[in-house]
Amino acid sequence: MYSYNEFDKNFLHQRVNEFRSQVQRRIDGVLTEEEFLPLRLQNGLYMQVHSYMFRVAIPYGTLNSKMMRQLALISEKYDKGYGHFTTRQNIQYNWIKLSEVADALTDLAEVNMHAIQTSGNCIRNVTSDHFAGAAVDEIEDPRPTAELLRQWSTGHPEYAFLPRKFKIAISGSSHDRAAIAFHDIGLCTVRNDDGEIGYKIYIGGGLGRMPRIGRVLSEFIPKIQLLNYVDSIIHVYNRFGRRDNIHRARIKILVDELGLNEARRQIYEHCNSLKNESRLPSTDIIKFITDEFSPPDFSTAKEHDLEKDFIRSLSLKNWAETNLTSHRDPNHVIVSVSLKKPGATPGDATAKQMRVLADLAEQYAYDELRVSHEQNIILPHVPKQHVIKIYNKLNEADLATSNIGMVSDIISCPGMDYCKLATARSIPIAKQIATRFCELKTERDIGPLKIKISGCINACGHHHVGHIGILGLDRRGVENYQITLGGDGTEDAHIGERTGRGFPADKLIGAIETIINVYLNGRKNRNETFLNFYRRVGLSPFKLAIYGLPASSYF
Amino acid sequence: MRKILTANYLLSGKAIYLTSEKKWIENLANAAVFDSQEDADNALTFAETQINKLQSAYLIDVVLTSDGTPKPKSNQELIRATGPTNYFHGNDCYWNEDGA
Repeated sequence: MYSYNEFDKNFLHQRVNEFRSQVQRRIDGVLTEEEFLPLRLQNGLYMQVHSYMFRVAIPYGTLNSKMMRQLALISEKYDKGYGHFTTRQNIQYNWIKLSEVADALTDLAEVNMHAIQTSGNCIRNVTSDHFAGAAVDEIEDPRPTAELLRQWSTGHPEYAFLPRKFKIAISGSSHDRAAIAFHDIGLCTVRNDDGEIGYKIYIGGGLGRMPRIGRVLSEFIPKIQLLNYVDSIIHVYNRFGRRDNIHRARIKILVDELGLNEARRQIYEHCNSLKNESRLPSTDIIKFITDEFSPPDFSTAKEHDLEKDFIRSLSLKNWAETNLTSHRDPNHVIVSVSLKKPGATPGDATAKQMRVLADLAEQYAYDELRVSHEQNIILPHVPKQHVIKIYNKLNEADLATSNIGMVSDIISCPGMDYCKLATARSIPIAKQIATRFCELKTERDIGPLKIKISGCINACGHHHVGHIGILGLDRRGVENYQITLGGDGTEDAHIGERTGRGFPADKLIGAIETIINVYLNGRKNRNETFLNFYRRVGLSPFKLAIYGLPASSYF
Repeated sequence: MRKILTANYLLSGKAIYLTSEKKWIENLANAAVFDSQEDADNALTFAETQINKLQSAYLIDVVLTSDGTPKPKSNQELIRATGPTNYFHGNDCYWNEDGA
């Protein structure tokens, strides 16, 4: 993985010292809270419902064991012994003190981590496929390009005050695991007819109160030219994006207002003007960054028949069915560690659990970990011979929940329990749904199903792209939850359709159960997933069932 | 109208409430309840003199429960006063089904 050089390290330490003096000036009364606000936000520090919240960047979701152990240490030294992994592949601490943030940043800098680009109207932390470098279907590891974009965007003087935040996601294969169509810029690695690698570029995607599927700016941009195009997109956005209305300030609205063709014309025009003053990185720099992401030597892993392990342990087999994914090397697998134990808070891990994950990565998995946007932890390269040992250790640490991609693997934002913007709670809803289907023991029968919950219209819980999406709102002081169906965050991007009026919390779980029963009663067979069933039958039978008649009466 | 004044400590970030003795406490039940806009505004003016100690200060609407203690009208302020509902580690470290 990419290791920081002296320049990077000095930059981080300077930033920490700068922030330490800014905090001191706030404490001394030299800075007012209003003056201090943008400074703390630039260092990932928010004020939330109960306390300060500190958001740490995990660029493209990649960590090593040393970093994970430091995240654990920070949770114990400065917080309450746990952290919350987010849909942006970051980690948040909910109970940080202003007087200790600079110390926490110093500890982070020791392992080349920071909180830069986790807040404010800048180019945010670039997100990527959590299976990068390991996926069978991958054209190329997208992380070197994500790192190039990070280096280019960090501290970029022209883009420090954009109209609004700006999010870039990159996928290394045509199967999109990074929800690229729902980012300000989405980059999909593709190969053209000549075998050359480049990017299909989407612009103006996003969730929030005005969800948009990214529109295709270009089907193919050669890799070497990417930065000029990204620069041009953001240049046009920076000049013409709206600054008069915070709700209309994202690039998706600019693309709406200009129209895709005019947006493309302006972007290409600027891009052409750059050709004489090339800002493109040299091939040496690209090679240097790419080499930093060289895969481990997979040839040391032995052939190993997992089926023999499954005979020894049925619980291992059950776990493997949902939590293992094929690796590009036949002697390895990708292990997804669920942070969604039914009844627990989605995305939360204790310091002890973080250390177990770090140990497993270090001992058995080439020292690599990933955070997924679905709030789970990935061991991307695991030799098959180590799977049973890893499973047993995960089990001891209460981390062996076998539910990846299932009904209880719920994405949930922190909701009103922690977030100042929230209009309703999300976590208790996620806990109740997961517990309910765990008790019913129907999870495996239901099969792949993504439930995503947001506690407000800003959609941090990605509810628009949940197969079942839940949006928590406030209805005259009472929490009320709207349901959307048929959303999809993959390459078949789709925004879920609202069923109708929302439900109070005590009626919501029943409504979700009814929706799932409509599917179970109506599907052709077990191979027809919830999403495919929904695409076949549409919204009507679900509406009828949740607002009136029993599910069985429609099929 | 019934209002109380709340803030967060600048250094710790803790949610706090103003008492009638102009002290900041973490337990909302002992906060001073203002029945007039004038009293509420005076409290806010007092808080503004303490900007080096406070992260922010604002008034919130409350109702009085049967035992006369204030209870925030908004869900968010209720959760802020009593702690998150997923862990027992907020201000008062408790939460029950009645929401207080």
